[in-house]
Amino acid sequence: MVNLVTSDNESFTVEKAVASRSVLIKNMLEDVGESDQPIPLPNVTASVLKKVLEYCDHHKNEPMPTSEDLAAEDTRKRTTDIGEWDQKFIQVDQEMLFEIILAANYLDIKPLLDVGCKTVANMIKGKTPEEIRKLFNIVNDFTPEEEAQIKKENEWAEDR
Amino acid sequence: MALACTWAIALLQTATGASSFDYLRRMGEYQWQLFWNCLAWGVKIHREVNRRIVERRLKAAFMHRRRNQLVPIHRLPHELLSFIFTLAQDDLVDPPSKNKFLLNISSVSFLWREIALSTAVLWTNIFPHLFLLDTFLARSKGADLTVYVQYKTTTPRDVAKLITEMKIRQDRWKGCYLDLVSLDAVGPVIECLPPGLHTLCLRGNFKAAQSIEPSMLAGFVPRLRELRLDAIYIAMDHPVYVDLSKLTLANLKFEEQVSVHWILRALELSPRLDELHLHLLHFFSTPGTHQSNSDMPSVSLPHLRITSMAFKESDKTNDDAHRYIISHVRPHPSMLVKLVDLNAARGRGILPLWSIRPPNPKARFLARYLKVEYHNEKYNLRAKACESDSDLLIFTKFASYVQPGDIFSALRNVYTMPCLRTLSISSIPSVKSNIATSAAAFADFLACHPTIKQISFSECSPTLIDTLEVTGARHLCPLVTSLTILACDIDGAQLTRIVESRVRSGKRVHLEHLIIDNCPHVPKIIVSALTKKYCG
Repeated sequence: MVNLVTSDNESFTVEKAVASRSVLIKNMLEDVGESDQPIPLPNVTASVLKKVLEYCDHHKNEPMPTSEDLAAEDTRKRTTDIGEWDQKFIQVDQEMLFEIILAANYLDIKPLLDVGCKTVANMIKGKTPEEIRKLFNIVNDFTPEEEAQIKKENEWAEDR
Repeated sequence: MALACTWAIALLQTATGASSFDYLRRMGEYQWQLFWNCLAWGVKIHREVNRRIVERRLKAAFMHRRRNQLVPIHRLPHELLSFIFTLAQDDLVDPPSKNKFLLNISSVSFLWREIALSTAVLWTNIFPHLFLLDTFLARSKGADLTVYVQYKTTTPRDVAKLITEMKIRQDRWKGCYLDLVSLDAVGPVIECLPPGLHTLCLRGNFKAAQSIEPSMLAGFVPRLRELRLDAIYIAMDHPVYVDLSKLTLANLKFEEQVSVHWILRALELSPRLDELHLHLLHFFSTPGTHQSNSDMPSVSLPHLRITSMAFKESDKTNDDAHRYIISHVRPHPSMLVKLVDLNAARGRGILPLWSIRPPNPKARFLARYLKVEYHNEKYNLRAKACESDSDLLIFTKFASYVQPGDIFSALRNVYTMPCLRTLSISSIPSVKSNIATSAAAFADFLACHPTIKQISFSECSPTLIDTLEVTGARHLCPLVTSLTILACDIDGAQLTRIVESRVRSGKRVHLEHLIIDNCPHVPKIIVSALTKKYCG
């Protein structure tokens, strides 16, 4: 078993197979060897780690992506398809979604990072700039010159 | 000065109307001096006002930028946002929509625009009529380019113009999607393919599938990984295909008997194949029947993980030819088979291709989980190594072409899974005329799968569930320890009979989990009594 301590000082005891889905933790465990020392995760809060561990636990029996797989992924056409379970898992509010992505990035859990990023990609696909702004609470912050340049580019596109 | 004068005259014109010129002619030196002073002040004030407006707008823009930094999505590092943009764009099929997406994301905010502009790979989809071609090429920096030439939206002249322009950058071509309907225009490309080409998709005329001479593709393309031939055929007997990982053949008609061997030969020359898609192919003849399958050497494709086939017409010769191909391939043990057989004639069995040999014999041994469900007027069947794992077999077929019994008998005949543990049956419609046949086929299927430990029925006919009752002549699924029945029409007496029959004899494996939910004819008291008595 592995003991993980979050930024808000909550500790989680999980199976080694679950914790090792994170390349960061896996490397730490390999470096430190057998130890009872808790692993501090200063960039992850308890609520986020709980979700991340739920994902890791569900996928614990799946083979870890090898460097060959990752290289093949770069050359292959990527899709934004998400598995059934993963889709349900990632149905969270925006705040939590981005926190999960950040945690997956920090903990180096590539499959979870992919699920998060694909979810955001699906959210922006087919939307107008105004709809995207509304979705993510962004305001138009272009200067008049930039606005003119964008308008020009868009006019070109409309003409063709 | 000239500008100021023009402006002054215009000002006077506005102030005094047409007669202002007469007034100007009559002005003395003092009036002129006053006029110029006024004018200078006016210009100064105007400039100052403009400067302040611009300053205010800039300030507002910068304040908005600061505010935008605080929104949750901008907590993501820029490289992740860039990755998200790439993912979203990759998923769009046609180049104009890819570019429309680009314009949209680069018009959201300053930060999004900066990220989009600095992500070179987003600007690499080139096609005729592309607006701001130079801008795209500049923004794509040194990234690999994908060139699209679509006949529908392009004239041969446009194509020739683009090709000339793009030939200079041939070393950067990574993908090439050519519509060969206008063969004259794209000829120069396929006669000498760019050396770094990774993906080549050629599309011919669907109405009259054509073939092109292999010499047309004589250019050496050592990095070619993906090849799609749609309504166009090239005799693939050149070692150029040695590193192919994805091959798609679509909309082709093969009239000669040796065509099947040509395909196998092409597969043999591509030993690193990872995906094989045979879509809407039509073979008019199969290799001679006097030659048994086992006499032919199989093609080893150890990396082949996905095979998909789509059929348009039901035809025995065509099915036999497909079966011949697939049964002469030795794929990766956990290959996923996808079949789309939408218009097959009524009455034909499921998995028509493998009535002699199953698609992937080793995969059957990996299958632990099977789900058969009826959804959107289609039967969907999925076999997996475990519930959360990737599929080993997917089959979809419209219900109007198949009865539930056909599915179970075909599975029993051609795809038995010796290690099956979990069976999930969902929403199988009960039609009075065929339910008895379906139940009999289901019982035969269960008889071939004695390893099942968990069974779940959801919205199914009670006749199917009845097969689990142990009688003197029948004891199906002897290892079942978990039974789940959800939203079925089963009644209390029937349930009691089934459960009691499975626990009557001392040596039988007991049910450990009994989950009955949303069954209107089963009182809760019966469920709790059965659970307490037999599944404690």
